[in-house]
Formats: sequence, C-alpha cells, structure tokens
Amino acid sequence: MHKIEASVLKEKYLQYWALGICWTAKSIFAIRIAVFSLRLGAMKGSSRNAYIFRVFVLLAMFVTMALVIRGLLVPEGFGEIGFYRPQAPDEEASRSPVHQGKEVCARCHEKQFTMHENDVHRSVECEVCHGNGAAHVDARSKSLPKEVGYIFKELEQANCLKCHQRILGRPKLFPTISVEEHYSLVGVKVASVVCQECHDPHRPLFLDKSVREARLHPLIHPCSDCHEEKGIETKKIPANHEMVFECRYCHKPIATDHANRKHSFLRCTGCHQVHKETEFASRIYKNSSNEFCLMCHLKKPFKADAKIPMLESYDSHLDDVASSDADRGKRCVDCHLNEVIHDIKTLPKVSSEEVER
Amino acid sequence: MKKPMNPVTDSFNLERRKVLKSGLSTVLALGLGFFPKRLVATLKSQGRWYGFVVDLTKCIGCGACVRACKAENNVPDGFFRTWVERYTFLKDGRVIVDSPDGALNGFEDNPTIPRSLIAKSYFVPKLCNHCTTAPCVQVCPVGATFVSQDGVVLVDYKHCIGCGYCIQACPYGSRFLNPAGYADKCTLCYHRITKGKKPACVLVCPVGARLYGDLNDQNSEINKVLAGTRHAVLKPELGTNPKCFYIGLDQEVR
Repeated sequence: MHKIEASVLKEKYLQYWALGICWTAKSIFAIRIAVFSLRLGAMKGSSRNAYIFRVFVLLAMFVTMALVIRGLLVPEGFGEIGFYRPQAPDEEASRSPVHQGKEVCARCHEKQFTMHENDVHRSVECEVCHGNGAAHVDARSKSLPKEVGYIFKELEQANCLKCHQRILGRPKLFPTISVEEHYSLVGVKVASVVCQECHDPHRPLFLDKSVREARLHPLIHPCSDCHEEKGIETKKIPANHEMVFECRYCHKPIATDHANRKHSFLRCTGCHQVHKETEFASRIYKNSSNEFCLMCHLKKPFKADAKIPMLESYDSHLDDVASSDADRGKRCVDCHLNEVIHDIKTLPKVSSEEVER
Repeated sequence: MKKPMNPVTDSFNLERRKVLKSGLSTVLALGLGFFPKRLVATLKSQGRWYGFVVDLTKCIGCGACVRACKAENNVPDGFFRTWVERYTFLKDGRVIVDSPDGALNGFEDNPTIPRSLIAKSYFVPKLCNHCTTAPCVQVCPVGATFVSQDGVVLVDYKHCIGCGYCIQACPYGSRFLNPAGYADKCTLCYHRITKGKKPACVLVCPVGARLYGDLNDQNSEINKVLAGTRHAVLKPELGTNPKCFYIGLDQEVR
C-alpha cells in the first residue's frame, strides 16, 4: 500500500544526511559565538574590527547556507495548516478501501444476504468469514473470468469457534459452547462433523438440511432481538410462536409421560416458564407451592359449575387424608405430581457445573 | 579610583535591567509569534473531531478486527495497528495479560490458570488513542506526524525519516517501524472515514464493541454512547488526552 519506491527512499536518506549536516553546522556556530566573545575581550583596535568583520561574514555565510538547505529540505507548503505537509492528509485519504461492506455484497448475492439479514448473525459482516472483497469486486466490475478474485470459504469449525468457543474471557451473556458438550447434548456421535452440517452458514441459528426444520429457541435467540428493534408485536406465549422449539423436542420422556396423565390438556408453559435466556442448563422455575395448585382447585362461589376436583381448604383436605404429622407438612406436588402431572423422575440430571454457568 | 574597563559590557553599555527586559520581550515575541501556529493544529477544531469507543463488556476476542486491519492496511507480518489483549484478574490481586500473536487468530482457552483462582477476565482491544496532545507528534523532528484537522493522528509516510522517536514516545505502544523505512500506525482508516465508510475494524466487529464518530456532533452515536455509559481512557495521568474511550475499564489495564 505504502510501498516506497527506490527513488523516494534515496531522497529520504538524502534528507536524513542533510538534517545531520544542518544540526552539526548549528552546533559549530554556537561554539564559534562562544569563542568569538572570549577572544573579543582580549583584542584592541584594528585587529578587533577585522575580527568582528570576519565573524559577521562567517555568520552571513552560515545563514545563507542554512536558508538554502532549509529551502531544499522543507517541502512545499509546509506549515500552512499546521506543523506538517498540507498534502499529507489528502494523500492518506486517497487510498481505496479494501473492505467493501455487506451492502456491496448484497448487490449480487441477494439470496444469501436476505437470509443472513434475518438471522441474529446479521451483525457479522460477510467479509468477517469470507475475507475482504477488494479483488473480487474489482474483478467482477471488470467482467474478468471467474477464477480472478474468486472467493471460496471452506466450511470448518474454526470459523464458528473463533467467536463461539467457550474460553476464558468471553462475556457470560455471549453464547459459547464446548464442542464436546454440544455434541453430546445434540447427539452427534462423529467428531469430524462440522458446525455447518447442521447450521446453515448464512443463517446459523436455523438448522439445516436433513436436520429438523429450523426453529428459534429463546435460549439462543432472546425475544428482544426481533421484538424491540423491528417493532414486531410480541406474542405473549413463546410456545405459540411459529418458529419456537417445542418443549417435547428436547424433553421427550417428560412430554410422553405427561401426555398420559390427567393434566395432559395443559401445555408445559401453563406451569413452567421458558428457560431463562442467559442460562444454558435447563433450569426451569415454576412456583410449585400449594397456592399455585389451589388457584384452580380451591372452591369458590364463581367456580360452582367447574368439573374439576375442589377443596374447601387445604387444611380440610389434610384432615381427610393425613395419617401423621409428617404428612401435614407436605405440599400438593409431594403426593400428586407423578399421578396427575408427570413423573418427576424422568427429568434429566444436570451436573452442578452446568447449573453454575 | 576608576574601575578597570570591561570591553564587552562597557562598549555596548548594557545594564542588567535592560538585558532582562529585552530578553524577556524577545522570548514573549517568539512565543506569541511562533508557538500558537503549532498549537492551533492540535487544538480542538470546529469541524469534525473523530473519537473512538471500545466497549470491553461486549468484546468477545474473536480477532476479526485484527485480521481486517491487516488486510485493509497491508500491515506487515508481526506488526499490528490494532491488537487484542486478554486481561485475567486473579483473586490474589495478580493480573495476567496475554495476546497470542496479537489475537490475529483469536484466542484459545488458557487452562494453565486454575479456574478457582480467577476473579474475572476480559478482552481489551488496543489501537492508537488519537491523543489530542499526542506525545508522538511533539517529538517528531521533521513534522512527519501530526494531528489532522479532524483529530486523527497521521503519519506523512513520504516525509518520515524513520528515526523512531515517535515509537518511543507513544505511551500506548501503538506505533511501529515499518520495514519499508517509516513509522506506521493506526490512521482510524482515514481513507475510509473520509469517504463516509466505517473503519475496517468497526465494520467487521460482530458484536459492535467498536464505535467511531464525530465528538463535535452532539447527535452522533458516539456522543450518545459516551453520555450513557461510564467510560475511561488509558493512562489519563500522562495528560495525552486520548480520544479513544473504553467502557468497562479497570485501572489495572494499561
């Protein structure tokens, strides 16, 4: 870019030497003045005048020489707008940009661009993965053969892992994985599988090809990604979202079990909240207190026609069923969970390390 | 008794007061006539005045900025106009900094540090701070480096003699001697920003951790970000008045 040609380089060294000569001359001159004043004190009459004349001639010579050298060294216009060559900023600005920006890519690669724009990865410029497009755009604008400025990107894990590998220092809110953990979670048995075999490289959030139809997961894709910026009306229940993961895709044992229970008409989200957005481990909170069950099952005048089992009060229920003091301390779910909702034992175990993250 | 004659002082008939007066007025005249011209260029201009913001809470250390900068500016191997460091703070107060190859290929995990000892860790992208009172500009003997009228510290590659004073003067290590024989540094992609494009590193940052803009424009994004966050600069005690602001900076970061 700023490759200096031999002639310019030569000129530079010339400048360097001239500058050295200049400074040497200056110091010699300073020494001369000192010597001059010392000698002058010891002189008298005509020899003194002659000496003063000689010194002034010398001074004039030095000044002339300095002016000539300065005229040769100082570039044209130097100092007009500051202590620098006024052409320098424009010379720097005249270089042509190398990175083109995704808008330029979009002119030809509209399909990929649209895909990419609708993914959370829209903040990642095309040139981050593909490399800069200077040669490519230049060759295409001149209708050169396809081989010139050809951009090819190999599908490999490293591209994704530069950002998404779980390493020391990455912000906690940024989605990171360890490949081993991820593969064991999604059931990939072959280690040589690369990310792009499941994730479409132009919209990585969407699963690709033979993999099940793409859906958004609130864990990976916070709702605010779309609903704040784009002004899309929020759908209150994420499970109604057409592109959201169904719980049963991951929690199959529980979902199957639940389908055979009395509460099978209830959706998972009726009791559970969705995953917390920032947590990888599947910690799902729901208030399993008696009050939550009693919201439906407590007898109230306005519920007279309801066809579900009703209690006068929780204490009266305990009076009927409790056989010991220990039983009186139990919650609804302690007895009824497996019977009416789903078997809690089917929950997959989560290691303490995962929960901490 | 007559004092012996001193040929120098008596012939010019100079008195101490006169000497002091004329000396002082000469210095004053020189100062007024010469220095303002040099200073004007480094003072805040009325037009654009570019600044830079790095959000450390967002940086993921992928190194895309380093690679983009290399490609954009043809930076020679082994040198960096921008690079990324990882600061790891241990619970006992020690700070470990690493930057493998300037983060050209991103970062790897560092398993040598036991997780139980780590208090926190984050990435710190570094680049030229584009100081308002840049020490590198002050030391240049030939006027080959300067603060441009829009506040960007530039190098005049043709005029630079490659003496390396500026490289030593820069407290942030942002300069290097290009093997072609001149001092080189981040130009804030001057060739891009003057054409209305973002600097390469800002363009490619996937998480928006880098931001540049006009500090003189009260409605610019950079001013809004600066108004809305607590930010700091590197080595403020040096009085270089950097225009590169860091969000989420610890004082240990140098």
